[in-house]
Amino acid sequence: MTYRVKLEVFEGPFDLLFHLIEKNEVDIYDIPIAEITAQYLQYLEDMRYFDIEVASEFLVMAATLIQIKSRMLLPQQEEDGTEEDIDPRQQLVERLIEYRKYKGITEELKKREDKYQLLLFREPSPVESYVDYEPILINIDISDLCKAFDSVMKRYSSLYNEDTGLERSIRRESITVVDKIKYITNRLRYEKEVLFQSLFGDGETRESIVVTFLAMLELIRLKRIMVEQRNTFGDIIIRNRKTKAGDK
Amino acid sequence: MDKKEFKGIIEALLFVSGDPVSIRDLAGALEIEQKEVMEIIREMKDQYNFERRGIQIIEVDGHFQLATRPEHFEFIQRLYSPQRKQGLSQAALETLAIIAYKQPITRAEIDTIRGVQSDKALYTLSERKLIQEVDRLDTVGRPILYGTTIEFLRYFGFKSIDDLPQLLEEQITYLDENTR
Repeated sequence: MTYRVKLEVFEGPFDLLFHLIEKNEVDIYDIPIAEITAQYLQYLEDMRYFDIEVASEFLVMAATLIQIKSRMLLPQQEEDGTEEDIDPRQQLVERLIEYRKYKGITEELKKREDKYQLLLFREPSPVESYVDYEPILINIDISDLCKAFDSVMKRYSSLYNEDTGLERSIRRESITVVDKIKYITNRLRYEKEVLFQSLFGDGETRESIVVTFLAMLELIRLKRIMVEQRNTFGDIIIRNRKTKAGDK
Repeated sequence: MDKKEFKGIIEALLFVSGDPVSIRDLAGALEIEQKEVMEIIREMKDQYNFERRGIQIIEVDGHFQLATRPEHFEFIQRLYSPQRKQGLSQAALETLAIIAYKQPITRAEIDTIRGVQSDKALYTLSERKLIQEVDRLDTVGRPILYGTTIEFLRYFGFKSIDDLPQLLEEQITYLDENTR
């Protein structure tokens, strides 16, 4: 015995509705809701028959269609007596039209995909092994950074001697590393060199100092900045790192 | 340096890079104006086309890249039998179309337009670097805002985002008809 399964697959309830509207050649602005609803439900029936799991979105749409159908049967009477003249189909139609816009584009994209898949490209040459990039840390190692961080923290605690003992409150994180990365890169856009100390203002909270420091470490990890100490115990200077073409 | 020399250098830079190179980087390497680079590349493109060379220069969002020609794919296939990449699924294409026109957009907004969940499609599109997280919406849960990438433009052969086909806008909307 052979089964002839002829059941189109639809991306979602809108996709199916569209198919039905097109198949029946009806006006999208004047959908014969009873007829379309019946066909829609029939399709879900078929899906069940073929043991295809019906996604919940299809069921929600079925309910919506039935609701619209019933509202169309009843004369709408507002509480204040005026007749409501909004078509119960309106919202559905608006969404269908919105969906249709992108459906057309989807087909266009498919065509272009087929065409441009035939273009091939080179892998980048492994120039990294021939070219020396600017180093990231110059005359400096991680302990120097730690020292610099310590001194900032010391300045902070001498300004605000807040460590009074047991009382502690946990505040919501208000400054993110991302914010501080933006802050540092922004300053580097306008200043060629930025002093490490100058990243921390006097009024900063401990949290803000820590986050700024983390942001700087992150930028080092991403190889976007370089950190230099020109003489021992000197100021630590942050600069943008020159990168290869295309690096962002 | 004469123009011929510049052409040679640009060719070398594009060859080595493989990836698209920005006009800014090219101008920087050659130490000439971007306008001049544009002019030279335009000439190179014409030349390549006229001589029916096996490579062409394609433009993506102010970046240039060397590529083979579609009509040669057949031969490349004979030599290497490269597997044609699996095209994107209908769901992925649909999701991508929505993102392309409505970016930046959240997953919830995409789901509303499509009427189905799009997380799987979004995952595939991110994997293939056709979309990226561009920002987060400043609201409960800070949902991700998605946008398309340069790879998206290249993949579909668009020069820039303005190159996207026009959406078929309905002149007479349902609303107009109703209020008339």
